[in-house]
Amino acid sequence: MTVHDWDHLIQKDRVHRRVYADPSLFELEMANLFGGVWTYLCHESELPAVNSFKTVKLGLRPLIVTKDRNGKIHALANRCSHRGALLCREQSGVKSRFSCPYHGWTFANDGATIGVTFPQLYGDTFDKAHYNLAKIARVESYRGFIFATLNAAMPSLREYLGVAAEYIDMFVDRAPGKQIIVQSGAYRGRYHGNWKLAWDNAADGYHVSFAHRSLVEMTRRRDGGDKGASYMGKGPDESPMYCKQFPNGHTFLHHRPGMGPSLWQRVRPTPGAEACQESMMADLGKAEAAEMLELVPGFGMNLNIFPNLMIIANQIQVVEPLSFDQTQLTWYATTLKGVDARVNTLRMRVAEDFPNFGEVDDLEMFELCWEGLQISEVEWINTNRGALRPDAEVRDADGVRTVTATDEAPLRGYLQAYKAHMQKDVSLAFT
Amino acid sequence: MFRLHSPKKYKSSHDSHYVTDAFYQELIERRTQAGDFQLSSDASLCAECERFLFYEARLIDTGRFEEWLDLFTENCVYWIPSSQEADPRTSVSITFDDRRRLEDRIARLRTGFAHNQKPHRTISHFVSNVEAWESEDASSRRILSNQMIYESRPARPLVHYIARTDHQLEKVDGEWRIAVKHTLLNNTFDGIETPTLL
Repeated sequence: MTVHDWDHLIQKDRVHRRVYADPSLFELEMANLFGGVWTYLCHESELPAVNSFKTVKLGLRPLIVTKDRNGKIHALANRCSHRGALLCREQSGVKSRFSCPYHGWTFANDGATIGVTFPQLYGDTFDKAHYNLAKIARVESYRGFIFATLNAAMPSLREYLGVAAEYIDMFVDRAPGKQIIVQSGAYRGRYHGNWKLAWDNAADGYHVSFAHRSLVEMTRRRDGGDKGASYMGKGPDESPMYCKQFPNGHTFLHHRPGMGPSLWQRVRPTPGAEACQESMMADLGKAEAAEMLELVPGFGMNLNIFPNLMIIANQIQVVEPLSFDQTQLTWYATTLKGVDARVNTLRMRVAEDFPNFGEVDDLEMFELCWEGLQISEVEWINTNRGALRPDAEVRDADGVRTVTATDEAPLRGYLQAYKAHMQKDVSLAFT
Repeated sequence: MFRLHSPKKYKSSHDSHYVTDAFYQELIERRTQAGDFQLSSDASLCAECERFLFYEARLIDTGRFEEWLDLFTENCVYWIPSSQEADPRTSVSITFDDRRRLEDRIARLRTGFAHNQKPHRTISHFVSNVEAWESEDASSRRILSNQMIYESRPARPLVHYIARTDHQLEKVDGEWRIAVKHTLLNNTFDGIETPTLL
C-alpha cells in the first residue's frame, strides 16, 4: 500500500489536488470511507412491506437491502455465492427469494441458501449453509435512514452521527406524526469529476450569487426578487443564515432564518400552485390550508451526513462515486403520509425546480473544477475562507463550530474528518 | 446566441390555475390510451404533422426559443417523466413545466449567466417514426414520434437523448398549438444531464 503524507495533502487551510485526482486515493476511499464508516444505504419507507427489497451500492459494492418476512432488514452482497454473478438486477420490488440467472442457485431474502441445482455432484457432505450470501453484520437505522458499515471497530451509528442526529430530527419532525416517504422515482444527475467536489459545495453559501446567477436573475425578472434564493444576493454573511461544522465530517447550512415567516409565500412559481391553494382553501378553510401549504416547500436546510447522504430541502440526495472521475447524484423526492394529496403533488413540482434550474449550474462548476485540477504542477485548492478569524478553532461543547454562510469551516471540517478516516488501518468484512 | 434580452416578448403567465387533479388524470390516461384518436393513413395529414415536428425542431436547433414557446398553448405542459409508469402527482419528473415554468426555463437561458450553456450548446433533433393521430371530429391531433436529440459543446462529450415523444395538439385561432408535449427518455437510468430543450 502506498504511504501518503496526509499532513502534506490536507492542511489546515488548503488541500492538495491529488486528494481529488489520484485514482489510488479513490481505491482507499472505497474502503476506508465507503464501508469503513457508516454509509447511507436507503430509507425504511423504500421497504414498505415484508419481502420488499432495494438494490443499492456501498461504494462500488452492489448490495440488496431486504426486509424479511419478520420485518428484519438485511444488507446482502448482490453476488451469487457460486461464481459471483449479480443476483438481482431490479431496482426495487417485492421478493422473498432471489435466483441466480447463471446456474439457478436460490437464496432467501435473509441470505440463506435455499437450493443448489443438481446438488448430487457436490457429494454427501455438502452443506448449503456454507454458501449463504455474504451479509453485512452492522446495519443500523436512525429515524428511518438505514446505514451500514463493514468495520467492526466503528462506534454505533448514533455515536457516529453525534449532534448531527438532532438535525435529522429537525427534518423528520417538521410535520409531526406525518411519516416521510421516499419516492422511488428519482432524478439522476451525473458529472465528470471527483465525488468530493459535491461535498465542497454541500454547505457552501458562497457560490450561490455567482454559480446560480441565472436562477437568481430568472427569479428576479419574474418576481422582482422576493422568491427562491434571491435573498442570497444581498450579502450572505450579513443574513441570518448560518453553517455548522459537526464532528465526523457532517455539515449543515441553514437558509431558513433568512426566509421570512412563510415558506409557502417564498416558494418559486410552481405548476398548479394557485389551483391547489384555491381548492385547498375551499375544502379546508383558509387557516388549515395555509398550515398545510407550509409543508410544501423545503425547510431551507442542507444537512450533509458524511460521506454520502445529503438532505436538501425536501429531497434526499445520495452521492454515488462511480470512479475517481465520475460521480452520480441521485435525488429522491419525499412525500408525507397522511397529508392532503395536493400537498404531496406540489412537493413533487417544487422538488423539480432546483435540479432543473440550479443543479445544472452546480454540476457545471464541478466539471470546471475537474478540468482545472488536471494541471498537476499547480497543486493547491484553498479552503481558508474564515480560517483567520481569531475564533476560527472555537467549537461548542458538542464539538460544533457555527459560522456565517460563506465561511469555509464546513469544508475544512469534512476534510479533517476525511483525513482522519483515510489514515486508519481498517479491517472490513462481510459475514 | 443567448441574448440578454429576448428579441420577442411573449405574454407572461402569472399564475397556474389549470394544473388540477383532473388535468393530471387526463394526462395519465392519455399516456396509455388512444382515447377517441385514430391512427391516420391520410398522406397529406401525415406530411403536415411531420412538417410541424421538423419546424418545431428547427426552432429549438436554431435557438429561436421564444418562437418555439409560441407553439404552445396557454394551458400547456412540457413533461419529461422519470419513468414510463410514474404518476406525476406522487413521482418527481425530470421536468414538469406548465406554461409559466416553461417561460422561466427560456428566461434562464436568456440571462447570459446560464453557465452550463457556455460555450454555446448546439442542439440537433433527429425526428423519425412519425405517426399522425386524429380525433373523430378532427378538432385535436396527436403526433407520436421517435427522436434522437444531441447536444454538443466544444471540449465536452456529446450528450444524447433517445426519446419517444407524444405531441397533443389543439387548434388556437386557426393554428395548431402544442397542449401537451410528453417526452419519454429511454436512457435516463444511469444519470443524465438535464436537457436544454427536448
